[in-house]
Amino acid sequence: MVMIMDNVIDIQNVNLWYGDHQALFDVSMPVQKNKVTALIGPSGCGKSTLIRSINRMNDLIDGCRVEGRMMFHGEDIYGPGTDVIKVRKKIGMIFQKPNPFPMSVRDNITYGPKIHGITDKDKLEEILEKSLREAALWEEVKDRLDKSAMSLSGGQQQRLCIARTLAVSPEVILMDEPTSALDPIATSKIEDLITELVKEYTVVIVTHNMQQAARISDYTGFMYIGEMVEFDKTDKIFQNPSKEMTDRYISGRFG
Amino acid sequence: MNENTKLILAVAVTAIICITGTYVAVGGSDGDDSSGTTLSVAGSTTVFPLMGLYQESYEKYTNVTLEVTGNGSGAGANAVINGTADIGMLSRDLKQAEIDAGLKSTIIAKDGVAVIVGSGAGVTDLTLEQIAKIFSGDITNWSDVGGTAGTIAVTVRDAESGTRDCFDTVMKAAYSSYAIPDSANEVGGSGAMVATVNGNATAIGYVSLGYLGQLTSGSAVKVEGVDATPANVLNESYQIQRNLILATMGDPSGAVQNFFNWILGPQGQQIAAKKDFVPVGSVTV
Amino acid sequence: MGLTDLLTGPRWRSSEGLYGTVPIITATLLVTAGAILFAVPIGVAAAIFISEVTPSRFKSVLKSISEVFAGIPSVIYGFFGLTVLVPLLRDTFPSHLLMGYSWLAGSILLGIMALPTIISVSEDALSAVPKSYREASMAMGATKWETTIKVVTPAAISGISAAIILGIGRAVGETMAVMMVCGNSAIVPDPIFNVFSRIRPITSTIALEMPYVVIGSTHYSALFFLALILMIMVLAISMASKIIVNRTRRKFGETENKPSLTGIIVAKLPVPLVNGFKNALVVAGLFLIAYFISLTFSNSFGAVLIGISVTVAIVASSLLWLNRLKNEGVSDRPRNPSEFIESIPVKIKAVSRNIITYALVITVVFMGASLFYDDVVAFMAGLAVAAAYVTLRSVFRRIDSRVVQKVAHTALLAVMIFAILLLVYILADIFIEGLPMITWDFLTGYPKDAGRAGGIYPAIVGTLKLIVGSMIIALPLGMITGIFLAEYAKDTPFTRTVRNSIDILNGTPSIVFGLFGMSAFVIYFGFGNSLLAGCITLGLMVLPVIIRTTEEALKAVPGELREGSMAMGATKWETTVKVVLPAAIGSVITGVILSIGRVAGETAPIMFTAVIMYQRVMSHSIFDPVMALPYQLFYLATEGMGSPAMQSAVATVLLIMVLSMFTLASVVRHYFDKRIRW
Repeated sequence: MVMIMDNVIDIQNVNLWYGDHQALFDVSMPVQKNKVTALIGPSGCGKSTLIRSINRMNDLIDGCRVEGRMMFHGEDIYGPGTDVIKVRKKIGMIFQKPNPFPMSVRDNITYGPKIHGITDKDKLEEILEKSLREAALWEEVKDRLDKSAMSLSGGQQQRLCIARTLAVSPEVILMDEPTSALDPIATSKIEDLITELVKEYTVVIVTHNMQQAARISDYTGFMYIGEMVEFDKTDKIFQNPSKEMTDRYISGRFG
Repeated sequence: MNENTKLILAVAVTAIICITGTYVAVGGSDGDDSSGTTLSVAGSTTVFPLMGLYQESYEKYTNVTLEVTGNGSGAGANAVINGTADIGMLSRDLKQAEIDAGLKSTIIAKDGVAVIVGSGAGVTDLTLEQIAKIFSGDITNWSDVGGTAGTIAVTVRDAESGTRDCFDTVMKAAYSSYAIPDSANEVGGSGAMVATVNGNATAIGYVSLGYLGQLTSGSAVKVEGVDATPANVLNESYQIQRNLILATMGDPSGAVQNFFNWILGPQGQQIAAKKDFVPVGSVTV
Repeated sequence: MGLTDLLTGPRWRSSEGLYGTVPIITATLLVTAGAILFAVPIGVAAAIFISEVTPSRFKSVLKSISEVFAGIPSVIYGFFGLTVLVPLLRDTFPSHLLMGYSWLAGSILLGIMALPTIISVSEDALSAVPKSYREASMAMGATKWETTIKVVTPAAISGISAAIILGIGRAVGETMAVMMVCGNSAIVPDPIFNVFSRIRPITSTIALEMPYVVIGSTHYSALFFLALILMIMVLAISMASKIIVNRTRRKFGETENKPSLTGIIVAKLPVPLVNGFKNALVVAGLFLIAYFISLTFSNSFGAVLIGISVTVAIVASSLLWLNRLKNEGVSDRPRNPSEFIESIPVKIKAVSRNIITYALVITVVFMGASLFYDDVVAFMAGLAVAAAYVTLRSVFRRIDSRVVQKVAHTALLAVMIFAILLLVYILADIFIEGLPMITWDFLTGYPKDAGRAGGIYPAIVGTLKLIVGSMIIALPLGMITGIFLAEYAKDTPFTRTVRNSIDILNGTPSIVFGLFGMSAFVIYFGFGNSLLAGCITLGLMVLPVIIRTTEEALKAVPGELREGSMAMGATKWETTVKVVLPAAIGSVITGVILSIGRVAGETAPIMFTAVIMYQRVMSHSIFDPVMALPYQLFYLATEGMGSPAMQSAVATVLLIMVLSMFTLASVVRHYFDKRIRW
């Protein structure tokens, strides 16, 4: 059992259906502030589904139904009165394939602040530089802010997406397999970045790569066919898991 | 594709072929031709309805089939010159260039060109000079010629129309500065001219006597006090008039000659008279 | 006949031997511009609605409705224009329109006809925007509308531009509709933006004067000259859309830089020459734009002066700017216009964009208002609208984004409903008047009284004969060529040029086919006005469609199928005929059916090659002319013959024939789509 202290997000008994097909079964999990929480498990276990339900991206899918509660600062994310736009501002997401808009670097970063009402040009410039520095991208793009974002390398694009998310000042950053499309060097750069970011922000990361989870996360949840099999400190999960299934997955006997 | 689908498809295709075939066969009740000559006729929209009536009578009478298109006197002459028609219908005399190309004309009737105005014009009599000035754009309001106030909507025929040729010649003689402006509304046929005047209360145009029956809204004005009637065309008191001719490459011969003889004979001329044209042959009006 | 005389002569009067094409070419440009102004807002709005707002189950319904629009023959639109639109305009603007025939009527009709193209291609472009962009935007807390307007639409802008250009191509080549409603006066409107003026575009001129042109005369050459100009326009449009499509591909990361023969030739030219050419093009373009804008408030001479001064000013300041860059030692100096534009600082770009937008708004409002009020009032109106635009923008910024979304979605829905109602109205008007007259006698009887009464049997049969004949010509040839291009041809510059040529042929206006058909088959080969000439002309017209459809259908079949067959030892031909073709048969059949629909409805190609107005007996040989439904409708409507009910009845029969073809094509495609899932 985990000592619950300083939970930013508390997922409580969540069930999720795509039409008639149930994808998540009674999943519960805390997300701790300024910590990296990783979700691991074989393909189809529901980890992407889970992370996408935290910022209600599953709303975009026809026929998706959620039961249970996800508490964020004392309010249920799935409650009737919840403003989903505010939720997404506070909880940002990085996707598996980098998806910068086909605009300039500057326009990509300032997109978020602009739609949330910031029009002051100086403020936007400030946010631009701050986000790019936080994402460790500033030095590489500061001379080409008005060139298209599509001309950056894969790793740079992903860092751009991170900077883009940071620009709206979220509290939590969700990452859905952020490095699986990148080469090893870019991957390690992103991993270093996550370790830096978590000092200011809270990170939840879904990863296919167990070693990555072992390297960078503080807490890990192992999922299998829609259920949260085991959730604990990362060290415990990897060195001395409580459940036999966890042990079998970690040691590579299936997956 | 499984067997059932193939079967359905085959049945469907057969059904479509059968239905189409039946339709084509059944529909041919009226006027199925067995053999005989075909003559193609093209030209003036003025003569076109008359030719249509000729066709109905003449085809009952002989083995000859006529194919008729009406797209203007100039087009008719050209069709005969180009070889795409046997007979050209014109509502004017042949031009020199056409005679040089080898065309010969046969007059089949005389016709008057009525000046027609819309229902809102409010005039019943105009002088040649007034008409010419209106068409030149020098008079623009009906009130200037004693009618109900309203801008005159001038409509003329296309450049190769025989009717226009006749009209322009008469107007030029009456008014030396006669010139149709580029902005005038042009229509491509007699029917279209009548339709325009029918549909626009302040319009003015010109059309053959034979089309006056189609004028449902509006009327033909007197020209210099003379009504536009066949009688007045015959006695030449109605000044805007011309010959209706049929043109052939060289002198008419064979089936064409027979057809022409019939037209100029009593039956043909009677039909012309019924259509408000002035016969030139044996029947007097 | 001097080229300058032709191009710059201000009067076209064939009877006087004057062949100045200025009013005619101008008319084509003007009526097309008006059509685009009408069709683009409605079309793009509808496309956005279908792609982004409609729930997926309704999307296919709406797309099918748009395709129905596309299938309606132009003579039907012309009929609607003649009988409904023209009198409506005349009654709405009595002081401006004596009879209703006008540029405005032409543009409205052309706009309606270009709508399906714009909607369909724009919707494809919008749907093609990767889902990840939408997700990224929404994950940041943007509303659906914000995502649509700020991310998806800009990302699709190339495709939308291609759609607009294709719509322009459609409008430029249209003959029947403009001929029936534009009034056919060969003049330049005065002032140039007077939409109430009568005009006569290139297509109408060719169609109206073809009947009485003497073969080989100056008049004849002049008409062919006009056709040439038309083809150049179509060519330019085709090239423009290809350039844009290529640019899109590069933007989204796929590089498809395989040039055709012309591309290779251009690549071999020295770079300074190409750049010099691009520069010259830009300068010419600047001058023309300034010239046309100043025509609105000044005469020709003044406009030329203003045009020159504006161009000189812009070029001079650009050169000064370049010089400054050189002095600062900036290394990557722009060498041609596109690089130059990219190098302009963002702030200046933003400011000039604003200036241009406001100037455009004021000018357009001024042009429209000055037709009704005097110039000063009109200018005030322009300023007022610009001010309103600025205010609205800042107001909308402050309103909650969800409210904006509701407003925007409602507005789009309204546009969509308007478009659908328009279509329904056109169809209903014709059906209601025409259906009562359709009896068995009508369908099987012969015409009487020069076509004014009686039945339309020969017209129906004539149309059927034309369909069969043109298919005999186009199908085998088209399918074999399509198979060759898809399966056997290597990807050489030669084949690419062949494909480009087929595309150009595809976009060629039908009147050009008519002109060609007349001079080649009717006159030169001596077939005369005949079924044969008509079938060959129509066959040539749909040939490119069949080639393209066959080729695309075959290409869509995955390579695995071919590999599987060849791995068993089949020859290439056997594979193609026994495996690939049957797999693609659905799309091929759809293409054939669509071609049949086109053949049934086209008027311009048969007007001077195959038809007559009135036939008492059925023609028997292929060297005889036939009656045909579209021409019958055209003739009855423009000559005012037959009762309105009879005209509508002919229109109804034609509509039913064409629409059932299109429905059949949809059904077939649907059926095969369901069965074949790669």
